[in-house]
Amino acid sequence: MAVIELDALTREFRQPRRFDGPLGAIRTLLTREYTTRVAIDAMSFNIEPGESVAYLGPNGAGKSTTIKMLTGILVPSRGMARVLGNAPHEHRRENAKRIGVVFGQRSQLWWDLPLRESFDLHRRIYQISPERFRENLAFCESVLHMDAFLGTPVRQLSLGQRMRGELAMALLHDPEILFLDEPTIGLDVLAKDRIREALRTVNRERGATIMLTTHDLKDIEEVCERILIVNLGKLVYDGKIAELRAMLGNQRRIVIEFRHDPGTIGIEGGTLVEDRGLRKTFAFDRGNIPPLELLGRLPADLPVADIAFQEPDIEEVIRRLYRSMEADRPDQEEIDTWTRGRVVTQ
Amino acid sequence: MTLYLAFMMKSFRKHLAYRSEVWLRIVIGVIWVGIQVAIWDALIGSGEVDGISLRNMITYAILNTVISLSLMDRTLSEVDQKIRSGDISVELIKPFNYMLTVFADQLGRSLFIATFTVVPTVAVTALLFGFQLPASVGHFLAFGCAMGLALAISFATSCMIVMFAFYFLATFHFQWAMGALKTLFAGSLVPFWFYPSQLRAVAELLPFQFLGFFPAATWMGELPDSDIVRQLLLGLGWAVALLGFCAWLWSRITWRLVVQGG
Repeated sequence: MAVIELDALTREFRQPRRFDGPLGAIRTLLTREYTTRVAIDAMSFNIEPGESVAYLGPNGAGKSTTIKMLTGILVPSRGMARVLGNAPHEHRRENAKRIGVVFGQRSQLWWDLPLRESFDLHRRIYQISPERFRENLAFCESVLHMDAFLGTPVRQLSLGQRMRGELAMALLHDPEILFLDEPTIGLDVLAKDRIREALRTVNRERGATIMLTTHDLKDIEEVCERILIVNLGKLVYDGKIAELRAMLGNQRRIVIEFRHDPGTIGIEGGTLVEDRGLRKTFAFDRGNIPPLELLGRLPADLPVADIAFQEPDIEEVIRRLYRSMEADRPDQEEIDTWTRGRVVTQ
Repeated sequence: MTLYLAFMMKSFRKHLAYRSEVWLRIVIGVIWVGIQVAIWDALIGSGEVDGISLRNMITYAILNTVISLSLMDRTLSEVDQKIRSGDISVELIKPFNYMLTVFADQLGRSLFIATFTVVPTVAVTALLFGFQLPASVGHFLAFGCAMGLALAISFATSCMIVMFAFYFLATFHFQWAMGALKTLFAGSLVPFWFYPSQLRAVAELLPFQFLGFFPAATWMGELPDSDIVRQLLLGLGWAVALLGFCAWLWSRITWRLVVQGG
């Protein structure tokens, strides 16, 4: 059975209408008119136990709104959301014990207490048995490398240390699902690696389901198998990373640097896409030819100085997808007329 | 229950970390008592006014200084900041009652202050200016009950300010108004004995008396027994009503955060 089920989930936000012009401020104060903005528009998908899902989208696409509804701190306007079989907002506290949540931009640690004491409070809040707590803490310490700063008050921790602390908090009570809203935001490369490694371990070894939002596409490549992409509150892509890559960029490139210009050359199965004399780039269809065989096809007497393979990275793929969505996006004037058309008079 | 007890103890330990604050509070407490003693010395001198001597007023000043120190009115900044920044949503995800944890946290602070500020401040000021012990064991017990009410009521009033701030997006005005009401109706500086009778009648109906005048006057045995019992019951009513109002406001606020999205 799916651990997360969304069926036509919709969330609207209502704001008092704002007026421009010299008397606009007064009209804004007195108005009973509201504009309705649809943040999540009839979204449906399921997530099975043990999956690791990246939930992507440009800023303002509705990612955080979805996470808020799934953790029960925002009530859906219409449609259904179920987490572990319950409607999250109706069973907020019961669900809380079975899920772990990390908001990259908000802290859940107690500012004045050493990390260790935050964990101890957490143990009492979630009623974790002492043995379980000890085991989990040892696990977190080892995968997150936290032993050096467990006794330090949270306010003195670096951002990377704090985020590792946040993640540990979310893991201590054996959550069945982990919701992570930008867990690596603002971290350096090493700290990001540690977080990703921990997430991978938790997902593969402990079988926790992971749903994470991020703008760092390396997070996805290293942690997630499936990606969901939203834009303007609608699901626009749901599938494996490899499939998306195949859909948008199914090419591998090989860049060869020569010691001196070899003149015109060709490689079987490849097309020359860029020729700068000493540096030539060929493109091959992915999957057809293994890279080593490609090298074998080069004539042996070429004056090769260096060879590099270029993978179409996921970043490029997503960038292209976002750009194509931009094109579909109505421009500002259109949005204005659209919202004006939906003005509701109370 | 043990959870909230744990919150209380953590808060107690947390305050141990700020040692210079402890010394500073004691020094300021002693100075503040000294100022009041100087004023009452100038006003009363060696005689009596309405049967109140300088010695009585010194005790009253010491008591009120330490009562103000231990009140639970520091809830404001932390909760207010969380509501504004939206961090409050993090608290809603956890399987506990957030306001109870704040209460436990404040109680831990008051406990800390009672141990490390109130006791030394009373000792020093008693040595410097003299201090009356409670009128009787019964009065001391009644004083304990009155302090319980003082903690509950001070917590409720400071919570109300924060919660109003959620709706009106401004704390300052409510804080200012509450400060003014407390100055007049708590009697921390000037006891109700010196109030005109109509004003005293009003003050004795309001909840603010429990933040100053009532516990101090009870300690000193300046109130008839029947009055003490009556006022304790009134205070209990106020505490329940105010805390109930806060709980209702809090449920409205969570509803608004969750249903309307902030």
